[in-house]
Amino acid sequence: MSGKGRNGVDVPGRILGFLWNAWLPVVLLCAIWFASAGSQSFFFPSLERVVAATWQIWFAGGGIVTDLVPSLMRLLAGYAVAVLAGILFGTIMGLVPVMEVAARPVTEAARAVPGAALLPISMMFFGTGEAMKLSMIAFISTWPILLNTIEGVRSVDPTLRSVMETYHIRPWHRFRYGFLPAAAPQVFAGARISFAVAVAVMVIVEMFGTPGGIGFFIRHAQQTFQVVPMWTGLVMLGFFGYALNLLFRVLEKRILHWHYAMVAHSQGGQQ
Amino acid sequence: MANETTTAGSAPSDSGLKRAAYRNLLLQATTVGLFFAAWHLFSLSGFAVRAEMPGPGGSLARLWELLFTGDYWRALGTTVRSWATALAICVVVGIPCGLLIGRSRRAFDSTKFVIDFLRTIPSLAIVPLTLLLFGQTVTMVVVVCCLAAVWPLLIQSIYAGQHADPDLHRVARSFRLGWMDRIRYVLVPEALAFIWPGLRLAVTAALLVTIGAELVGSARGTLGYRLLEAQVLNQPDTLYAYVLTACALGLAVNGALTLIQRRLLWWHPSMRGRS
Repeated sequence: MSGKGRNGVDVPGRILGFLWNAWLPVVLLCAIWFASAGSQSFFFPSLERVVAATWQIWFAGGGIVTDLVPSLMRLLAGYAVAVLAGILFGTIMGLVPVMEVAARPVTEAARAVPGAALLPISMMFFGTGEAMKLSMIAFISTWPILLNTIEGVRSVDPTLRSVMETYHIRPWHRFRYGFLPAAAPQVFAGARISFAVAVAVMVIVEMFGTPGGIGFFIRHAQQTFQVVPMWTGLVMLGFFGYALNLLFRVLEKRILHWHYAMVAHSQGGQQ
Repeated sequence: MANETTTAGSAPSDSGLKRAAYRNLLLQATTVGLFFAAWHLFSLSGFAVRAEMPGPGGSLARLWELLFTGDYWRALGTTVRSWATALAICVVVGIPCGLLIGRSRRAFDSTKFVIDFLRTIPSLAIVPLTLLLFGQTVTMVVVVCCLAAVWPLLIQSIYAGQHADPDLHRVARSFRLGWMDRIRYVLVPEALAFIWPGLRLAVTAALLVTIGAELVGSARGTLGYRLLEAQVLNQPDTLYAYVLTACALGLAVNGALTLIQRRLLWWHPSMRGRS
């Protein structure tokens, strides 16, 4: 947001800002297009072929339905469990310091363990099917949210706590109108980290799991030396990740708009 | 660290603090004990037996045996080396680039989209490509790891560049600090407060991705490879011993970071009042 004007008064400024944002991607894309044109390299096919194959495989060939949608569902299901569990247990542990202190060895270890190392264990328990994929995504992406929720709940203004105490506000209302909003910025910070983790875990479990999913697609294409399809998978994953990130940001802005407004206000009331 | 920030009146007495610390330690020891007990009981259940999960006794015994083999230490060493190399590359590349981009509004506007796009690609997805290019080698692991770890550093360095406080530099100029002192007392501490969270994220992400890349790419002789091998060869004891190792590695790295943070950033508001 560069403009000082409202209602689109600062049109030239907007256009200029957009141009500054857009020139490098466009130049890079053109550079890659022309540099790779007529490429004979096995590993780096020309962009033209990759684009054509992307259209063929993912859009015309229905790859979106067979590979991208299952990935998305898996990601959302696992992530939803992680968010709910993280917020629930994080709030409880944030409210009861003794519990947080007691559980710290477990939470610290769970956060520190490189999630990928748990994959073989999960495969021994659940095989290579959906249960393995979902449990890995949910388990590994719970911890950043959990830890941030604990921090957020603990840092709730003591005055607010006393006020809620004094007015005998019901526990559910305390959670809903007191702790949850106060901790929300921290929770979201954790949720954002968790989300990136969840996407990474999704890709790796799909690479080891049963067919269906973009991770499997990329790995399978590589193992059968179909380099162009492999590149299309990477391109699709790039757009997929970017779109999800954008969505996340929009959601965060909507839910936390009061927080941003408050920060802006305390920093001098701009915007 | 000595507790210097206690205020008069509400401050708990020294012995009270000590007692609380002992109580916490006792609680945590109990938790660890409970965890191992729960693991043991769980490993006896039908569900765990079907998955051939060993109890903590078997896993720890196997770990003890492994501690005396060269393969174990070689695997651990290779993994730590890949991880450290990738982090070093990211620090050397990411921080200066980030600071430069952050200093210029135009550079920030121009690179924003490219950085945003590239960092959302899960780096483990690149493993198939790097496998084709570099084979099942340590180089492959380092490349993938760099692609994961550079973004948090770059982005936090951009913030550091953007939020440089002009007042501090004016103060430094009024005191006629030499450039060495200016770096030592103004630029580095100021930038560090921003870059540090990025570094912490990069360190943990790098560890996850290193082991993930080793696993997917089955890079020979690494921790990830040993994990996969133990699973494929159906040696559950060995598998759990290596998972415990990975966990210990993560804990050690985190512990070291926390210690360094206390030494480096003790002056920062977020660190004050912590013991």
